[in-house]
Amino acid sequence: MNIDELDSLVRLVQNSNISEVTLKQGDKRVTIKKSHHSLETSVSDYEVDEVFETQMHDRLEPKSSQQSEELVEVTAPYVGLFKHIKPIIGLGAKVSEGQTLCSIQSMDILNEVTAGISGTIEDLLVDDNQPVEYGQVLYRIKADK
Amino acid sequence: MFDKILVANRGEIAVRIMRTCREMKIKTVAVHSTADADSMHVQMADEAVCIGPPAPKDSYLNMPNIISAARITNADAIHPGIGFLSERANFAEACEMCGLKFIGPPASVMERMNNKASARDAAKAAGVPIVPGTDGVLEDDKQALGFARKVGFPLLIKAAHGGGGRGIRLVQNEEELVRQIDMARTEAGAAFGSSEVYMEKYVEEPRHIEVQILGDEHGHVVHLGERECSVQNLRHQKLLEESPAIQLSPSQRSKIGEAAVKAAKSIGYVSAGTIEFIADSRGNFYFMEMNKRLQVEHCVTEMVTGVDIVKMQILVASGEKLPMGQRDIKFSGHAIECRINAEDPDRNFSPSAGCITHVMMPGGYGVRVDTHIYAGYNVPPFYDPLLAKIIVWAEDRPAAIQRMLRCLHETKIVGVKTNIQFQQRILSNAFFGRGEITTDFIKWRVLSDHTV
Repeated sequence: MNIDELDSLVRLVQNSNISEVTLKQGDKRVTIKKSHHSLETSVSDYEVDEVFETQMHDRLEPKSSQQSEELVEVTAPYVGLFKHIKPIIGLGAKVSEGQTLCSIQSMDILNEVTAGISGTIEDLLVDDNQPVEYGQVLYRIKADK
Repeated sequence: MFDKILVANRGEIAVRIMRTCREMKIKTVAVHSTADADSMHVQMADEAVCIGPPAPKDSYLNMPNIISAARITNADAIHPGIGFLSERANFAEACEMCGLKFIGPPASVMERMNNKASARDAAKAAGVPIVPGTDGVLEDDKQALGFARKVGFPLLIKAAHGGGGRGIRLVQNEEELVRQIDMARTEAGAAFGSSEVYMEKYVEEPRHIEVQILGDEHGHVVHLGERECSVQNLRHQKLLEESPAIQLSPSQRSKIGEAAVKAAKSIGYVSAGTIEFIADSRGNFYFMEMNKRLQVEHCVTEMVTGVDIVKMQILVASGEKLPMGQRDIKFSGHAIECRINAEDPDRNFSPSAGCITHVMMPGGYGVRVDTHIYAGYNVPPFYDPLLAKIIVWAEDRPAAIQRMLRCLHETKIVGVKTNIQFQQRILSNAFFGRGEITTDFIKWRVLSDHTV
């Protein structure tokens, strides 16, 4: 679940009569409850907080090479639309240093983004055709030992 | 009208442009480098896109990333602000090719006026006075003598391929003319690899006076009066600007305004622009160059005319007619702007970066502050040192000077060195008070005045 999906979920609850929604995806669970104190919707559940916070952190500090132990971030070197290549490099894919992972379409030109290290894709943080800014984290790669 | 404008700039000018956008109910997109993620313009915009690392060439000058940012946010126009890409004809062209309206003059007009020689030709063709000079390179001593007798001394001999103030000689009379030309040629040959020189009339006690103009796509051009910008530091950067210019008589004032409109009309100018003139002690003025963009000191003009120049830029860019004619523009009172820079006057005005821990800006009647700083803001070392512009309006010049002194007294910026004290010295200077300001005012009247 990425931040945009979370955002649209919040909006969904906000604009409806539903007061609470829970979504389960694998081992992650997200509950969105309408606050009773105000008209604003609050996001609760600590599993959510964790996901939300890391993603907000990535957004606010795209340059930070904050990496947990052996995870290496692949960030967007251009502003544009994220495009998968064929075949899609998805979660769990084995990649080698210099290999093309995806491309970013900027001013109708497809710019390739390559892996800086050999390893396994642990995280894929963007969707096909999603707009990305400079420095936004696209992948996290677990380096080969 | 536009729905969303991307502001391709940073700092106080990005903030200033976004303020007008909001008043016009236009959504805004900020672009920023990684060093500016916490900057005020990013917080003020409806959306923000990071476009690159700190170095300007990788971010604020990165055309593909900026245009791409406009596309992914569905902006329909780009305001380039001041500096950075604001006078790049190829950027204006690229915007138009990508279906984005560039808020500024057409690329072709920009290109023509970017070249100093062709800008001078355009001004001359429009009948605007230019500094008398030998058309082209000096052939021989006979031609030099003929020219000198026609325009009179003093004269300047300049190396045709020189620059940066080098290769220039001042000649006071006929006796030394031939000798000076010989020396200038030898010097130019050694320094620039070409002994070609030309001659120009020397403008004595030069003042920098510029006229703000506005043009629309329907051929209308108006001027918003002049600004006096002679108070410049040793690197020729403006420090303090005012409007109107005290040394112009009413007839000189209308003449310079009309000349600027004539020049702008002749080249089909659209949007806000500034015609810079050099004026002598008798009020004669000559065309220097044209700035094809908004200017830092546009605020003093806004204060005396009541016209929001950025709003006019946006209106005419969307194809609308200027909502006023020349007769509708009324001038009132006197405005002064002080640029507050993060620089250390004791260390040759070198830029001072760091964290601003405390800020207190002036307020009260007739005071405007355009700034992007706040307590806790880190002044990055990569960009222009401009922290804030303090602008005052008052009924006349002496009252405006007193109001500015009062404002500078109120202003506190802690954490970085600023030129606030230096601005106080300028405003308290007796020559400044009398309006005796030429472009070397700082050098001769302020820096050499050790009584303060």
